[in-house]
Amino acid sequence: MIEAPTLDSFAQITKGMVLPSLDLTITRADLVRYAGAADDYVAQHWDQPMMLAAGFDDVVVHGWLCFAHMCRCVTSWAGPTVATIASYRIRYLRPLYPGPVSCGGLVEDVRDDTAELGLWATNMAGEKVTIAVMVLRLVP
Amino acid sequence: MREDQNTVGPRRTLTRHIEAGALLKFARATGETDPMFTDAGAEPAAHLVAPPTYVATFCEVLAGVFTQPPEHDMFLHSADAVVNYEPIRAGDTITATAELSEIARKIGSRGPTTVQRGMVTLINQHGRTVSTVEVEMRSFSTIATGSGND
Repeated sequence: MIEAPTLDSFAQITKGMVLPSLDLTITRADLVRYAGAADDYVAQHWDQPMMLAAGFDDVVVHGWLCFAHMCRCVTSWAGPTVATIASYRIRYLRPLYPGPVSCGGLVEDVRDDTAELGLWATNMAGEKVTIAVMVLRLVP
Repeated sequence: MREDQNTVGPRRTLTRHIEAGALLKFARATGETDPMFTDAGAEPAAHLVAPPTYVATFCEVLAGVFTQPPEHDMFLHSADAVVNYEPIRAGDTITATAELSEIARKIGSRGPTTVQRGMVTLINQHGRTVSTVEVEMRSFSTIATGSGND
């Protein structure tokens, strides 16, 4: 797949475009940093003994943090001066643990002033952990 | 960050004054680099716009709305749906109101599961709705299933 270059204008968006992928490693320090910035101190994200006792492999990455990285695929391609994020629906399919994650996206549909994107994140096993549908709107 | 909370029955509200520093901290934590989200030197500072998922920081208001059944020892965030009407900017005062919109019980891959959906509405100091955030949470017993993984 050939990834689309960074856009200068909304008119450049076409159906089938592949968004730039983003590969990163989410560390425990990232979870601490996010917890502080988002006021999200739910124990599932920091209490490893509790999570291991409950049968999980580790603490779970905040779903919103995973999605924030998925959004970076969008904002690095169609920046906030080109398109605004009008809406999105996210589904968290399985827990994501600290470690490698890959994010990507595809333009599913384009109308006059909106574009619908399919976004995903996969874990190091290549399993989809989070999927989303996002609607971008032209910045007038 | 100035913050006020109020709990009335199943509805809960949270009011925050949005400081530029809080937006910058969130942008750094989520890896955003666009100057619109990160330019600390923007003049006026109110030009600083909240990163795309900043609405998530208001979801703590749901803590007093969602309830975990006593037989369940674990919950996981399972879905979100967001509609944005206008950006959140530094200097705004945002009031988040959360309500439980749906509760259902089902047998899922983790056994008996309670699915709760809550709606958070964010309104700015001008009385305009800036975003709505629907959050879905699933609770279950890990003692019954023996594993947290799918």
